[in-house]
Amino acid sequence: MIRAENVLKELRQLWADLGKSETTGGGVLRACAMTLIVADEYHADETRQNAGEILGELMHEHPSRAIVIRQQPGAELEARVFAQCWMPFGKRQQICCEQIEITVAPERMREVPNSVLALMAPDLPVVLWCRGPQWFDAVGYNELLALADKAIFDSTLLAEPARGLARLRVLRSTGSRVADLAWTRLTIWREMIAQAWSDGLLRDVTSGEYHMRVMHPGSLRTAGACYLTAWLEKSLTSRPVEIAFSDDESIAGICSVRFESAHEHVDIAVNHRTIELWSKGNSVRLPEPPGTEYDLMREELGILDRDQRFEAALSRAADLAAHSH
Amino acid sequence: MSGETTSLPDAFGVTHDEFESNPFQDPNRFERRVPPCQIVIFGANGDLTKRKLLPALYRLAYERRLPAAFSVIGNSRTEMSDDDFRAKMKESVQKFLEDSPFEEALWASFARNIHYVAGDLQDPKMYSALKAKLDEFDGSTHAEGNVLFYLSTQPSYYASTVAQIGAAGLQHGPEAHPKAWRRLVVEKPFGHDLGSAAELNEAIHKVFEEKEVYRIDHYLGKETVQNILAFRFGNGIFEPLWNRRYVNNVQITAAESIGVEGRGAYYQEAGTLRDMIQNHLLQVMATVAMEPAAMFESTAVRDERAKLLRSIKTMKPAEVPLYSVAGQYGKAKVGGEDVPGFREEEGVDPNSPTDTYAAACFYIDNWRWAGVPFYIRSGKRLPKRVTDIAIQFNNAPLSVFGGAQIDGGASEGTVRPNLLILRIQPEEGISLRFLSKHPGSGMRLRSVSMDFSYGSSFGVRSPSAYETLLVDAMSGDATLYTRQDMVEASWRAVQPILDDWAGKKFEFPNYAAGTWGPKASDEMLARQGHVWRNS
Repeated sequence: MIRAENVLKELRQLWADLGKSETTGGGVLRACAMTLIVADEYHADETRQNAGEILGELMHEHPSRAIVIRQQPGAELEARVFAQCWMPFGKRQQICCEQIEITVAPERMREVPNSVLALMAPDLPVVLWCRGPQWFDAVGYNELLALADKAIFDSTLLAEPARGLARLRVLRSTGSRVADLAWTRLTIWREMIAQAWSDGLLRDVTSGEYHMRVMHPGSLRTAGACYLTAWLEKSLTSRPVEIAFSDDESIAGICSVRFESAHEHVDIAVNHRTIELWSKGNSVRLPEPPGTEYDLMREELGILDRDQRFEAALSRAADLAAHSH
Repeated sequence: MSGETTSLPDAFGVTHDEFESNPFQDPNRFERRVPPCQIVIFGANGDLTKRKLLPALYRLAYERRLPAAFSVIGNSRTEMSDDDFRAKMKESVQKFLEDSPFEEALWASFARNIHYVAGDLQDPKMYSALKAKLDEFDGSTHAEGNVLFYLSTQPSYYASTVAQIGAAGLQHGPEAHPKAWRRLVVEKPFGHDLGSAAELNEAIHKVFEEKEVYRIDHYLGKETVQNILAFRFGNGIFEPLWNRRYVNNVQITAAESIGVEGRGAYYQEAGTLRDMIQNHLLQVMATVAMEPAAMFESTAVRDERAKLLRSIKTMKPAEVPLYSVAGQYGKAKVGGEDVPGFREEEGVDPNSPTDTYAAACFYIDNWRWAGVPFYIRSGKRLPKRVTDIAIQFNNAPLSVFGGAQIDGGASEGTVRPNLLILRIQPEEGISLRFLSKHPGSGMRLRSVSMDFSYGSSFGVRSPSAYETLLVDAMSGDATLYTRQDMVEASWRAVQPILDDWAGKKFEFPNYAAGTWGPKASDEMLARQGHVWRNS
């Protein structure tokens, strides 16, 4: 049983205790810029990073009241509160964010959204992070979604990206502000292409007739490949982009992008943990970002307004994914 | 956003220029890219380079904001090898780097691109050597011929250094790079009065075009000063109150608790009015009082700032004693410690007439601000280090709590006006003071403060002013730099005070170290029915 008043009282007590126990003399600063609801999943998978650890890192840049909902078979419906604190480099003042962890058995999920509603930090943006594919079909999921100003998913967690992209498109069409970490992973690719354009490296190849090709690993179109293809089409006034598969399944997401005219071509490809651009015999290389959930969420939480580039690409990407078969 | 272009943002928030030139732009996610370039620092053995410039550049390298083709070339008269200079700079970065760890490996790779050219600023051979160094790096790293010249020398060398740059043809990029840019960053002080500022502008314009000149005022690079614009123009609730109808007076304070700290010789030539008010604080005042620009774009923002500075009412000679106060600190015991007076400081003339404190009341001749006093004060050896802006609103038109006790009021029943405080340092944030009922029976009112602190909403470290400004200059964004007309307008505002003070013999010292300045400053406000707030 969760009584919101009691949980909030515990939070107040937590702050009082933190203040009393503070010994550095610099004080404790409560930091909060949003409510971050984390719809987590119970995982036997030990290799997956714990949500609490990721939140601990995220809090430095995006301080929030985090409400972590963990579905766990047989669990009691209960909440506990604690603080995530850190001391910025060279400062004496501790900065702390509050975290509320709710455990719940899947069959009782329907009771959770109302509790979350009462526990959200007032008047601040609310972000929902669905950290697992089962949430799409979970009881209470729509109610949670209705609480959020922005909902973040990761369509790569689904066995079939087409399903995820289609769901996101539907959500978007109903007015929800959505994000997909599969899109966030493309930033490095998109930035490299934008940079190549600024540097004039694509000038010659795109001056006449040309075409583009996005290669993805395996026979099933990846969400990343669909997004990148859609983005290229939208950016270059609907020029067709070929989407093809590569046999190299050691790479996730995207293998390469090629801009090709009759006389020359520019390639951007993954190469030993770097993204490398080849043009006229010269290459530019950027380290492939680690792409951890922390990195991706850090970027997404920085964008609370509509992400129109993503939204413009989503609909076409969903079509491309649907035609994967 | 490029330096002087004007363009409208499209539905994606990308300006047309960017959009048309690069259809892939995504300003939501992509960091602004610094193009390949070299920075030449004249006066590289000086304090500014050690304390601010190199630590800022190192921090940019730490955050991977610098391009792969990037180098720093230092110049001063002292004979040094590249390695000697690197060792000196390493020591400085380790000492003055704030809020960041120092990483040996990163320094090693950063330092490889630090070079040094010894030589006199008046010697044409030095510029030939500099050109050779620039060409050498350019040839080896594809730096595209872009160069940022940074004048960090004694101000008296600015004009001649620029002339030498011109004589050596360094203001133009190499022929191989027709799109190469050459820019000049000029540190303050920009002249020592209106006439000398105009002369310096003229000398600079013989070599560089105005759009290539970046006059630095590091206050404008501070996150909290930039936030004034976000606060005013990003919110709907304050701007309607931001005018003579609701604002009673504005107080801008920049106080330092320290003395001249070894800069006595420099300081006695400058004084607080020149060192702080003419540049930093008038720029802050312009930021507080300017009209909204049509878009956040270099020319538009600077036009509005310049308009505001030009609207500052010029004091008549007879008004100067009424609306300005000079002060100089005398010795005192502060916190149990003996603190010397300014005239006892090292390098300072024992009869120095320099102002270590200055306060002035400015009026702005426009419809928005007519009749609203803007009080500005700055000084050394004041009780604490604080920079803030207080906007005091008019009292409620009628006090319905006539008989109520108001805690903290000057007397029973005194209404304490609403106060909006924009704190620039050290505790960056914004607070609003208003009255609230004291718990308990009866109607007892008490002032309370609603506080926003940067630290509580943004856990991340803010970039230093020099990091911001260096990236801007390298990227060609002059929004946070001052322009010729702005500099001359701000000199015009303080020139009557300078003229008056130059002909006066003050009874210095007139305030004790550790106090809030001379009594005359309080009297200046009292004549208009105001008091300085306790910052």
